Amino acid sequence: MDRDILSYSVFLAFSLIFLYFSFGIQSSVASLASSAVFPRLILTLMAGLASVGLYGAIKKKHPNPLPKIQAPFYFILALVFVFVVAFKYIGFVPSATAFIVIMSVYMSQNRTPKNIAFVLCGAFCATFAVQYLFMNVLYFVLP
Amino acid sequence: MELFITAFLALLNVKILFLMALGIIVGLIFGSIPGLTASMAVALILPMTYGMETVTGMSFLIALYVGGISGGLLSAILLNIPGTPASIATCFDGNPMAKQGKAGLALATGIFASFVGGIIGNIILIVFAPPLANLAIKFSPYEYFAVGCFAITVLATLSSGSFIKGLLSGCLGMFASMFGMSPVDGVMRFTFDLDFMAAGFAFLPAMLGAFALSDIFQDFAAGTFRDRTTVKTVDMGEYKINFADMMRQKLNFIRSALLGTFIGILPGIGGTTASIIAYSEAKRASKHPEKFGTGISDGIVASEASNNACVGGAMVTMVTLGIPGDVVTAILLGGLMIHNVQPGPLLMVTNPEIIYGLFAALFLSNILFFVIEYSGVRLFIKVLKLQKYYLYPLIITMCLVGSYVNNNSTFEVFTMLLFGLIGFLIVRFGYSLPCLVIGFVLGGMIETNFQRAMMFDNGDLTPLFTRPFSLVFMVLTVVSVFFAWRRERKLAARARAAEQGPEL
Repeated sequence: MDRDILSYSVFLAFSLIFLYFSFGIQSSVASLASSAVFPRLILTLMAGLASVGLYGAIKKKHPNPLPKIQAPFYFILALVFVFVVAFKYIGFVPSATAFIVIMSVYMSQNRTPKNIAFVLCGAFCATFAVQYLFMNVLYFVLP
Repeated sequence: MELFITAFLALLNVKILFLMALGIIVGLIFGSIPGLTASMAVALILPMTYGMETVTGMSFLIALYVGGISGGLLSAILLNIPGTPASIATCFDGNPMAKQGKAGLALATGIFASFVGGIIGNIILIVFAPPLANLAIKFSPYEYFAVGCFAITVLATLSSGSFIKGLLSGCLGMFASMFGMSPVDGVMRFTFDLDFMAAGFAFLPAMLGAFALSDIFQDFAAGTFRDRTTVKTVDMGEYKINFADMMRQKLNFIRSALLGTFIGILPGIGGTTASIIAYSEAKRASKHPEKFGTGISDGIVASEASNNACVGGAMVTMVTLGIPGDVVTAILLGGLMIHNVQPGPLLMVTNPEIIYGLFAALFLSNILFFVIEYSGVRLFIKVLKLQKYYLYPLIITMCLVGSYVNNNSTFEVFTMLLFGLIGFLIVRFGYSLPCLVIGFVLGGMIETNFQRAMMFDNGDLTPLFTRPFSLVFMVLTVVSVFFAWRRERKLAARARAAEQGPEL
């Protein structure tokens, strides 16, 4: 596998795994001053950067649609992501939606790196944006 | 000035002078052998300063730093391999001079240029650090957070080939600093219920792993430890400083030293960038640019004056803001913390003797290095015959012992091994080790200030953009990200155009 794709995938997996663990941090301080916020912020940034880097690396390696052999790999990666992270934290509906989107992209003939990376990034952003908005920002702003 | 003179006189005792001379010699040895660096030397010696007084220990480390940076010119001139990356531009003209039988002149020029550059950098440090610290005292957590963000982004922008990789390395470093007890409210994070993780990863084992062990891994993986490029016979020619030539180049000296100091001030940008930029500027300003690269002293002066001036520049932000200017100052910063000294602008008010002690130590180191290197150059040339792998068992032993004594804990040894592996992989996959290390050093400071800022205003981020200094740094952060993004796009477009070939 391409070195960049491998390293960005490792960074993405690393940041998502630790993001998972970061939700277990029990802080007594509320709001953005909580000790859990900054690690999540950094890990989210890392995951975002790794996603962008991964997209760029895939695009560089495969300027045309992905070869059929490689597509299932990204598909499985996306599925694992949805079930491990999204399902656990934001519930059934958003993860099922993400699952349908990923399936439809996979089933379609348009399995371009752009589409697959877009779905990965989209699923990522949706999951954590919802998580952040509800848990860290809106919860304190709305009241 | 009074404080500086007092601090300088305090350093003039036998014990400190001996330690500093030893530091210079060890630094010169590490600097002159390709593959061993000043950062490795400082990281390895840091545990030995535990039992020393703060100023004594820091003077020893600063002497190592100056020696390490200055030693690089020996192998750059004689072997055409920079002993330290900061001497890379010295190869361009130094080695052609050596091949012309003027090795002695090239070495003398390089040593003198390093000395002058170092002194100019030191003067700038002494003049600018106090007013900058006075300004920085007014900083609130918002400003510190903004400065920290700016430091990381600038570092990622300038010190790595890819902005994303640079920033990822910086983030990984910051994240590594978050293990264990949180700095503000003492909450346990990512400890996995393991008691030994409560204190997180200690600074010293992390530095030993990242700088010493990872270099050895790197060398073995690349197979370069078998390299037997050594000096056989050196035609020194005339070994003396040509003062008439040096006077002719006074503008080159000043320009290169100022460039070096300024580049040193920028977080994470060390002597390598400084020497290359100073070299190209000297070439651009020269009346005979075509002679550069053929063996003229102008190139050596530019490279060596700038990389030694960089040391003073790198220390400006270290003493005033607690932000390291390069990787060695990051380790020095850790050294201060190990001695229970909290770096930052307040240090200038609470412990001026320490700050002025550092200034004086840098000044004295420059004088000592000049005397030792100039008088013992023939001896140091013999060091180039030493194969670096003979030193590896010693370095590994020092890493193991140094990390164990940090806390008398085997966990520290594992931390060192972990960071050695991370450092190896980071470099292997084209990421930035300086970004990782400086992210690790700054992580705690950035997070603490972020949390404090959020506590002041109940989670309101607005003051970050309404307070003038923090606004300036946030804007600079955004601007540096924008320019990095634009540069990457341009490079990618150029690479695509090169792949497609010229249009018919």
